[in-house]
Amino acid sequence: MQNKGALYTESTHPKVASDLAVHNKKVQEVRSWLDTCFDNFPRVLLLTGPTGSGKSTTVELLCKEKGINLLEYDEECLLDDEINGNLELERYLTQSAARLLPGKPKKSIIFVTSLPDAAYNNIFDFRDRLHNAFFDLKLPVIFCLSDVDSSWHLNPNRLFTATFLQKNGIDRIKFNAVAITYLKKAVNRAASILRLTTSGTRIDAICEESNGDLRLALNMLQMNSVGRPSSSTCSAKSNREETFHMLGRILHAKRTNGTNTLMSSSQKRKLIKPKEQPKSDGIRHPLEYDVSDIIQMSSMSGEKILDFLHENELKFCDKLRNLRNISDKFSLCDTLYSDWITKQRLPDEYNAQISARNVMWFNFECKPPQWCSLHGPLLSDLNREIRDSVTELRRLSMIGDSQFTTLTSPYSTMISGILDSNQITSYLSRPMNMSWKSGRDSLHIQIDNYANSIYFKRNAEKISKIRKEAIQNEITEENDYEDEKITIEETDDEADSDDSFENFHP
Amino acid sequence: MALWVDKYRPKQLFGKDGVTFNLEQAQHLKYLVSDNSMPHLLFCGPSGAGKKTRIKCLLRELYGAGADRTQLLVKNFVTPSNRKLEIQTVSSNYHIELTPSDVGIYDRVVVQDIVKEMAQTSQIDSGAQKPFKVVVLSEADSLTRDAQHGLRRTMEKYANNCRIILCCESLSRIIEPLQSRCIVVNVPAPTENDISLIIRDVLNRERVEMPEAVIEQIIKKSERNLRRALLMAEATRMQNGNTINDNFIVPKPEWETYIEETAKLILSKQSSEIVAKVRERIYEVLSRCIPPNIIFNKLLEFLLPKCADEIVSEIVSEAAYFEHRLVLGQKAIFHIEAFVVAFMDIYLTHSSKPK
Repeated sequence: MQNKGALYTESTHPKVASDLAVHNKKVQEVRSWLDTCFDNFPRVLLLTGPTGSGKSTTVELLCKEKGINLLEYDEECLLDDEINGNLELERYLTQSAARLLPGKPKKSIIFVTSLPDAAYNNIFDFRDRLHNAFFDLKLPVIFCLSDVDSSWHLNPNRLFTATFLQKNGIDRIKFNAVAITYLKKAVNRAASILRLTTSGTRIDAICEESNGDLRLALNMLQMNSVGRPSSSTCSAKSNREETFHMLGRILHAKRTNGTNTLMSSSQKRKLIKPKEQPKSDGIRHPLEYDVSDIIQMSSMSGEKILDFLHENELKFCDKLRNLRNISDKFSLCDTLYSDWITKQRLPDEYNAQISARNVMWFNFECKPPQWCSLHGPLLSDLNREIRDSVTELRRLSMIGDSQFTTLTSPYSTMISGILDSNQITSYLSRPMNMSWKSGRDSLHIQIDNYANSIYFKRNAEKISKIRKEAIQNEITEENDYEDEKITIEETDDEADSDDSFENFHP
Repeated sequence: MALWVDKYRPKQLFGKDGVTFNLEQAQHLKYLVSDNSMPHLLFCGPSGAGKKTRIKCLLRELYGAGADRTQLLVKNFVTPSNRKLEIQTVSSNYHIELTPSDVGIYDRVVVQDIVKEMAQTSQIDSGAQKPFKVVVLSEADSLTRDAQHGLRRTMEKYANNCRIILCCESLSRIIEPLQSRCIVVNVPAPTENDISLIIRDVLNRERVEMPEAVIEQIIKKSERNLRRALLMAEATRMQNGNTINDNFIVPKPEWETYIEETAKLILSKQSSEIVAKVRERIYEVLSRCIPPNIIFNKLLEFLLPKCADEIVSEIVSEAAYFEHRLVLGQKAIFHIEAFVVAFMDIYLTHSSKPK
C-alpha cells in the first residue's frame, strides 16, 4: 500500500478524464468552456454541485490536460476584521495577472473555491465589487462552490442570483450528485488501486449510504478497510432526510402486530421490511420503534422536534378529541421552554419526550392520507418576518403606543389614502389577501401594484381632495383662532413659566 | 398632517385646553404637582383612556414647555453577560420615556441603568428648577418580575432626584411592593357620553357635519376607547368628504374583520382541516405584528355569542387557561391553536348531543 498517511481520496485521485466519476456530458461542458474562455475577453464560470461530486477534480484534471495554469485564490485575511474580504477578492481578481512570471506564456485561470466571510455577510457589497472586477478582468475566473442545502446563508444561490448571473454574463454549470453506477465504478477502481479486499456487498452498502458524495464514499471505504470488519457500515453524515424519517416514525406511530413484545435492535431492522399495516383491533400493541431511540437518533433539540411535530401533526390526526390533547401538550411544552427556571433545570430531552410520546399515543388508529408530505416549520420564517417588522417599528417614535399596530397604523393608512411599501405602517396594514408567505420583496411589489391600481388611485385622489378642502378651511379660520392662541400662551405662563430654561438654551 | 387624535390632544390638565373627562381627577393631579414635588406615580387604565395624555400634561405642568422639546435617542446598554442592547427613548432635558419591555428579559438592566443615569446627573441650578427628573416607563405590566424587583430598590435609593411614572393597563401584573411605593392613578375609560361630547367637539372644530346615526355607530364601535373613536371618525370623514350618508358603515381595521371571518370558519365546521386553515389565517394576522393576546381576545369575543349557555363557562375557562400559557410561553400560535381545538371539541360535542 502506498503512502500510509494519505487519505484514499488523495491517493486514488483520478489521473485521466476517463477516470472521472462525472457524467461525460458534464465533463464535455466544462471542456468546451475551457476552450472558449480565452476568446476575446476573459469569461467567468460558476460551477456548483453537491459536495464530493467532483467539481474541482474535473477542473484541475482538464486544465492539466490542456496545459492551463490554475491560480487558486487563498483567503489571506481569515481573522482580520479590518480588511474587507470582498475588496481583497476584487483586487485579487483584477491584479493577479501581474503576479504571473512574464517569461511564461502559459495560459492561466483564476480558481476560486472559497469566498471570504464578508461575501456572505454583505451580499450587496460582494455583488458590487464582483461587478466592478469583471470589467477589469485579465484572466478567466472559475467560481467552484458547493451547494449548501442546510443553510440558506451559505448557499451560493443566494449570492449568485439568476439576475446577477445574467447581468454579468456569467456562465453556469451545475454538477449533480454522483450517480450510483459511477460511484460503484469509482469505489471499485479505488479498491483495486489500493488492493483492498472489501467485499462487493460492503461496497454496495457504502455507495448506498454516501448519497452520491464520492469523497464521503472513499472516506468510508478507508474507515472500513482498517481494523477487523465490523457488522455495521460506518455511519454517514446526518442529513435532512434522516430528520424526516424520524418525524415520520413519530407521526405515523406504527405499532407491531402484538406478536413480539420485546425487540432487539436487529429484529427491528428486519421488521421494517414487511410493510404491513397493523390490524386495527382496538388494542394498543407495542410501538414499532422505541421513542427514546427515535429522539436520540434524530439528534435534534427538543424545541426543534416540537416545532416540526406542530407543523405536521394536523395532517395526521383526524380526531378532534385527540388533537385537543395533543395541542394542549404542545402548548405546555412551549411554556416549559419559555420559562427560564424550568428550561435550566429540566433536561432538554424531557420536552421532546412529552411531545413525541403524546403524539404517538394519540395518533393511535388515525388514518393519515396515503401520500403525506412533511414540512419544516413555517413558524421560524414567520418569527423572522415579525422580528424584521418589529425592528423597523422601533425606529419610529411610538414609544408606549401599544395600539400602534392594531389601531393607529390601519386607520392612518385609511385616513391618508397612501400606500407605500417602504413605510412600515403601510406595509403592516396591507390588504389581508397579501400573504406574508410570498416574502418581503414580492410583497413590496404587490403593495405597489395595488397602490397603482385604478380603484386605489381613485380613492386616494378623493381623499387628497377632501384633505385640501380641510386645509383651505383651516387657513380661512386662522384669523378667528388667533386670539384664542394668545390666551393659551398666557395661561401657560401663569401655570409654570420656565424662564430659566429659556435662558439656558437660547 | 397630524391625525385628529394628535391634533386635538389636550395640552393641559385643567383649563381651557384641558382634558375633558375625569375632571376631578385631573384637578387633583394638578394640585399634586403644584408645590414642586411629586410622588412616584402609577397610571393604570384601559387603552384609549388618556393615560399618556395625562402624563404629558403632568410633565408640562411640572417643567413647562421644556418638556415638549423632546428628541429620539437610542440608548445602548451592556448586560452583565456582555450582551449589547439597544433601546429607543424619547427624552427632554427633564424626563425620559421608554418601553423597557422592548428588550424582553433584559429589562432589569435597562430600568436600573436608566434610573441611575437620570439620578446621577442632577439639575445644575436646583433652586430655579425642580430638584428631580422623571422617568416614564410605558407598558409597565409587561416588565418581568425581576425588573420590577430591581425597580423597587432603585426607586427608593434615588428617590431624591429621580421620580418614576409607570404606565400600565392592568394593575394585577405589577408586584405589590411596587404598587405600595407609588400613588396609583386609575384612569377609567371614558363613558359613551364623554366620547360623544368629544367627537362632537372635534367635528365642530373641524367644521365637519356628521349624521347622528353615524356618530352613534362610532360610539358603539369604539369600545369606549377614545383613540379608536377619533380614528374612526377621521377615517369616516376621509372616505366620504363633507357629505356623509346616514347609513355609511364605519370602517373597522381589516384584521378585525379577518378574525371575525376566522371565527365564522371555526363555527362552520369542526375538523383538523379547518384547524389547518385557521392556523394559516392566524399566521397572517401575526405577521402584521398584531399582539397575540389581542388576537386571542377578539377571537373569543366573536366566538362566545354563538355558543349555547351551557358551554360558555367551559369555553371561558379554557380560554383563560390558554391565555395564561400564552403569557408564559413564546410561540403564540401553539396556545391560540390549542384554544381553537379545545373550543371546536366542546362545541362539536355539545351540538351533536341529542337534545
